[in-house]
Order: sequence, then C-alpha cells, then structure tokens
Amino acid sequence: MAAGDRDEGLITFDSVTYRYPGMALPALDNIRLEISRGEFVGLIGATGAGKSTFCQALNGIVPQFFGGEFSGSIRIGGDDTIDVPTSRLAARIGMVFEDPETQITATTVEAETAFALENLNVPTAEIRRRVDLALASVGLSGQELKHPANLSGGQKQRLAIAAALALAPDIIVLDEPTSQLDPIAARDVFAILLRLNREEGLTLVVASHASEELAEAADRILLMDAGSVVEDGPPDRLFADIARLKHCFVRPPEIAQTFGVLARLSPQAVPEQPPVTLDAAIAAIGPLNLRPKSSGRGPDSPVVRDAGTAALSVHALKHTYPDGTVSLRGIDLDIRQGSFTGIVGQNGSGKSTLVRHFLKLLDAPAGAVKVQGDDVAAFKVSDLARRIGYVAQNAHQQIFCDRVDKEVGFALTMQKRDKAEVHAAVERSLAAMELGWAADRHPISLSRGDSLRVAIAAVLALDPEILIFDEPTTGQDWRGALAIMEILRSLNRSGKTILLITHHLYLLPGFVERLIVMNGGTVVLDGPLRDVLYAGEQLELAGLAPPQTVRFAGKVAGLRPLRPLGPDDLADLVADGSGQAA
Amino acid sequence: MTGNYALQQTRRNNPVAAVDMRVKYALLFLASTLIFVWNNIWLQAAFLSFIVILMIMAGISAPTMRRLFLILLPALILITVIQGLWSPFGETAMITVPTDTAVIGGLNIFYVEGIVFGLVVCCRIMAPMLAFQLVFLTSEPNDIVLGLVRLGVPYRVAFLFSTTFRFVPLLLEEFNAIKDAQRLRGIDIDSFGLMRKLVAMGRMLVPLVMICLSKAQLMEIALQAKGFSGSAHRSYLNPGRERLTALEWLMIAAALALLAGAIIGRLVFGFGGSVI
Repeated sequence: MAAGDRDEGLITFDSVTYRYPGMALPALDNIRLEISRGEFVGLIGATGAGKSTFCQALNGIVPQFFGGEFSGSIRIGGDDTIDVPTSRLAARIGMVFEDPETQITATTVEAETAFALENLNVPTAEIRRRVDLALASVGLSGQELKHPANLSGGQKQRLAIAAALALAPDIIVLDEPTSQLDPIAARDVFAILLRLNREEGLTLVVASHASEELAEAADRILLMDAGSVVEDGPPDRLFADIARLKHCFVRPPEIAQTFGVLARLSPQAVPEQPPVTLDAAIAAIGPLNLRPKSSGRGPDSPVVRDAGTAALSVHALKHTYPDGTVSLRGIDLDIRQGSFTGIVGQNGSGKSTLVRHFLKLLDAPAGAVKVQGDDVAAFKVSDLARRIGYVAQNAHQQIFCDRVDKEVGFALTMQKRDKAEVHAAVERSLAAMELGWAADRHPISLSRGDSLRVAIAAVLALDPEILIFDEPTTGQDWRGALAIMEILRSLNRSGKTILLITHHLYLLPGFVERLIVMNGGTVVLDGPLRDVLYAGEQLELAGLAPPQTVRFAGKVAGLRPLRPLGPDDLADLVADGSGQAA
Repeated sequence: MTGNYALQQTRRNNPVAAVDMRVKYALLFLASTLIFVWNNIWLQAAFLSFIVILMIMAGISAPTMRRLFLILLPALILITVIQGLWSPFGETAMITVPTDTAVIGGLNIFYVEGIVFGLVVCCRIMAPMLAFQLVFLTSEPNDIVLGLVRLGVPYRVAFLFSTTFRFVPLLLEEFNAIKDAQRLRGIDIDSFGLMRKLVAMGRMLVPLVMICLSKAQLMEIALQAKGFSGSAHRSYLNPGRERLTALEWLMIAAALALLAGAIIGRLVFGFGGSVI
C-alpha cells in the first residue's frame, strides 16, 4: 500500500465533469466523492445516467481513449488518471465488461487470464502463480486449457473476473457484469464478488440494474441521474426510497415494493422503512390478516380466445447438434392462438433451439413442427415471415435502411409489392408502434428502445399472426423493459399470439398468461403463470429463482394462501383495509 | 452453440501441432512458392498430398477439410474447364465434334493437356490454402504472435495479424445472423434476380459494418483495460523454446533445400516443367 493511500480515499473524484466529443450535455456532471479501500460500491441509474462513463473514467479510458472535455481530477491512490496511461493504471484497476464475447481475446482460459500480466511484463513464473490462484478463486481450476468459447455465459464472466483478479489489483470495476446471464449464473457471479470483498478485502465498484443483488451484496450505493451522483448511501436506506428510485427510473428491489403495498394494506405488520433484502423482510414482517377480494383473479385465469387450431405446435421434437450436444429431448407443446406465453430456462436449456425450429432455421422431421396447423417443412424461412414475426435480442442493430419508413417497408419493397400496399403497411405499422413522428428519421439516431420499436414495426409490416420475442428486455433499464412489455401486451390485445423468451421472471406478472419452463432440453413445467412460479423445488431444479414476492410469500403464513406474484398483483388480490387492526 | 467457432484450434497433442511456429512459417513459405516452380501434375499432387497427410496427422477433421474444399470447388471446376477449353498447352483433343455437324463440325473440345494444366492450377490454389488452414488450426494466437516476433516482425504488427484471424469467426457469425434476419423478415435472397440480390446484399453491409465497428471498439477498450500498449517489452505465460531443436532446424533446412533444389532443377534441367 502506498503511503498516501492511508491518508485519503483509495478513489477520489474531485469535481469531475466530462463531456463526450460533440455532445452538448455532460456524461459526468460535477462528481465529488471518495471510495475507501475494501468498499463494495453499487452504481445504479437508468440507461444513459453515466454509469459506464463513471466506470471507464476510473482507469482513464475516459477521457484518454475517447477524448472530449474533462475537468476536475480522479485519483487512484496517488495516481491521477489523466497523467498516468491506462496501460499502467491497468495494474491497479481490473475491469470486467458487460459482453463476455468482446472482452475475451485469447483462445485458452489460462491465456486469457495471463494476457494482462503479459502486457505488464510480469515474470513468467509469477504469471503462472497468479493465473492458478485467480482461476481457483472463481472456480475455474481444471479448465485452464479449455477454449473460452466452450464456456457458458456465467463461466465467461467468471473468467473475465479471474483475468482482472490475476492483476492483484486494488480495485475491480464491473460494468453490468450479469445483464446477459441467466439468474443462477448471475447469482454465482455476485456470490464470488461478495466473497472477494468480504474475505480478501478487494474494493469493488459494480454498475448494474440488478438492484436486488446489489441490495444483498453492496455496502454503499451511488444513484446516478443525468451524469450526477444524486444519492450516496447504504443500500438499506437508498433502496428503501422507492419514490426516489422510481423518479430516476431505477427498479427498486421487489421486496421493498411489496412492503410498500403491505404498508397500505396492513400497516401494523410492517416497519416504517421497508426492508430491501429477503432475509430482512422475513425478519421484519409481523402477523398478517389479509382478506382476499371476493372478485376473480387477474391474469392467471386465461381467456380462451380461440380453442381451435394451435398457433404453434411441436410433437416429439428432438434435436442434436453436429458436435453431439443433445439440445431437445422430445418436446410436445401447443401454443394457443391469441395467447401470451413465456418460455424461461437457463442458458442452454433448449429455448432458442425450440424457437429456431418454429422459424425453420433448424430442420425438423416431417410433422413435428406446425404453424397454424401446417407443417413448417412445407415452407421456406422467408415464407414463414408472413405467419411468424421474430424479434431478435439485437434487433435494434439489424437495421438495413437510412430512414425509419424505408426500414419498416424494406421487406415488402424487396418483394416488389405494390407501392400503395407498402405505404399502407408502413403507415399501419408505424402507427401501431407510435413511431409516426420518426418516419423520416435515420434509425441509428433513435434511442435503443425506439430502435427496437422500429424493428418490431418492420416485422408487423408483414402482418404476422404470431410474434416471437427473444430476450427483448436484455440490456434495458427498468423503464425500457416495462415499455417493451407494454408493447407486447398491446399487440396481444390486438389479437396477436405472443411468445416471449426471457430471463426476467419478475417482469411477467400482469402480462404473461402461461409459463413454460425448460431444462436440459425438456419442458419441466407448463401452466398458468401463478402455478409455475409457485412450483417451488421444481422451479429451483430448473435453475430459476422466482421473484422476491413469491419467495417471500412462501415463508409468510399470512401471504401463502394468496400466492401473490408481485407487488401490483398483491394489491389486486387483497381487499383494501382488510389487514387493518381491529 | 456449435457453429460459432469454425476456426477453433485443434489440441496440441500431436507432433504436427506441437512443432515450433518458425517451422510452420517455413511450411507456409514453401507452400506459397514451390507451387509456382513446378508445372508437373504429379509433383504438385505429391506436394498437395503431403499437406493433406500433415492435416490428418494434426487431427484436423474430415468435415473441416471438406468444408474448405467445397468452398473452393466452384472456382476449381471453372478453372479446369477454362484451361481444358483454351489452354495453350492443348495438343491432344478429348472430344471432336463429328465432321458432318453444321458449322462446328471437326471442332476439338477439351484438350488433355489443358485439363491437366487446369488441375495443376487447382493444386496451386489448394496447397497454400490447406497449408494456411493447417497452421492456423494447430496454433494458438499467442504462438502465431510469438513466432512472428521471433522472425523480427514488430509485436504490434504481429498482434494485429493474429487479431484479424480471431475476428473472422465473429464476422462470419454476425454475417449469418444478419442473413437470417433478412430471411426472417421475408426476404429470400436466393429467389431474387441479380440486381435485387445485389441490393439486398449491399443492405446487409450496413448492420455488418456497424456491428463490427462497435465490437472492434469494445474490444479495443477491453485491450486498453488489460494494459495492452503494443509494446514488445512483455512477458509470456508460455514463452516456449527460444532455441529450436535439431529436428526443427532440420525441417526448416529441408524446406529451404527443397525449394532451392526445385528452382535449380527447373532452371538447369527443366525438371517439373512439363504438365505430365
């Protein structure tokens, strides 16, 4: 430890303001704070609030790599990030980024872990020692010679953490490290971070939308909004301020929201300040005596709009990839016309393989996959587009034209449809997505959320009856994710059959009627959302954790019979004032 | 997914894969030069067979080799047909149109020497292509860089070279995803005429370039964060052997001697000059 480190914070932001080249508004706005050695700091805020810029400023990538206007100073120990090259700061600060694919550069696990040490000219024997230690620390010992491409998403992020850890840095900065992971992999990553912090005293700065995980792990939270740190405090205070978080479009931990509802329904049973973790909630809850509403329940009582031909059906579908990986082990499913169905499961559970069969991107035996009663074997992929619209996870990047209206009509134009027909379809689709205002805009100039709506409008132009969405909320903040779910609901209400693949179980209540859980290439659960989320052990065996409210209700006698799915659902289920003390 | 890593390395548990990178570069040099010294089909075929044997010894799977061959097949057929029809080596006609046929009666179609020379050209294409595939499928990027650095190439240039090869699978993956995205939007390129096909493919470049630029920038940021500066003053986890073994020296010497011998043989004795 340098002598100066004991006298000041390990990280010091002194009136830091930063503006990217050509941008009018600052990405960081007058930030003044200190972070001490050994702190676990969570960085939260909506997309565009400045979290990534904050992270990249810590090792000098901002402004050394991007340029722009920078004022104030950031000191890491004694080093000023303006004066010290990023390549030297790398020895003090390890970085882990959102996308495992772009940050991994080597072709073996050990080579990836060693790469930064090689750059810093660390002697070979010392590299070997640190690589072995780092891999052991993240549970990747024994995988040294494996190609990173053959690791799961969670293992890749653990590898990225190992590569940072091998530097024996003072600080590790992680920018959305779990946003592309399934819930179990995300939980594992946070467990490793917590251990590194608590047992080895590593200083961590984690930017994330995962407020529930941060509430459990972090000991300090910075809330960012429009480039400024607007709140700075312990998680139990900061995450309890639901109104403030919502104002900044940050998702509060669900349990805090549930306590917000309980405070209205049964104020004597809950503390004044809502707990922000599940354990704290179970400890804090008093006796409840809630009376359910006499009227019927909401979204888990599906309205059968069309009991006739299934929109999508598969029968005894199996699939094995050329390398011998068995991906589907005999799937039988029917998706009703007009339904809103979710498919969940860990990465590698077979969800995407199943969908690729619906789209005919993978061939199925004759009769095994049917769309609206017709065997997909009879169609070309491009013909199916008139029946099934598919919106990929990165659909916002798959833009082919320089104007929004051209993009929406691109497929019809290429099919040489009549101009009037193309125009009418474009108008209709833009109106459905409320994008009329953007018709003459360049798609790249739009926000990520609006770009995704352009991609959906382009799919709608072909007027398909069925829409499949593959992880549309990945990488979105809370506001963006809810906006997408609203779009899906309105499309469903207009008669479309919606199939949604997602990792975010907490988003489903109020939207999805039926939930299918896949694990190891089979359907392990299939039923109304409420039944599946309350399946308990079966859901856990599939590697999924139900939303906090569901887990909480399972532990609290007064809530268990109601089986609430989330805070809004709880409010819908319980008669106002039913829990008031007599 | 399995299709993402078409260029993934084989394991280094065989003598071909484990040999020093400098020997592999000598093989690449030989495969890129010797093919132009010889015109003879038997010599070319023998050299091509030698490379295929090395690939089999290195554990490269038959489907991987077949994939490359199928990619090249249309060009190979075209070259053989063109040479068969119009090669200046043509003397022995394979087919002669019956003399009583109007206009083209008596015309010779396809010459044996032309076809054989076409096959020689095919060998000239296949030999270096397979040699490059052999080397890059059996070498870690780290070895490629280290080998180039030991041959005197600046580290920054060597790293760029190896990164390019790392980027190829990513690029192919994105290209396929974009192609699928067009098909899923009802655009069947295969059914289009030439002009519409060109328009559709041109449009595919827009997202491809955007995604690649974005990935390249993210990769560059990740490299910066890992202390990469392009400096040659760096260490290695697996520095390998600085010194070549006697056998490796012998292999390099044999490669150079073969090339020198082939040149002298061709210039002085005309060895390997005739196509058959």
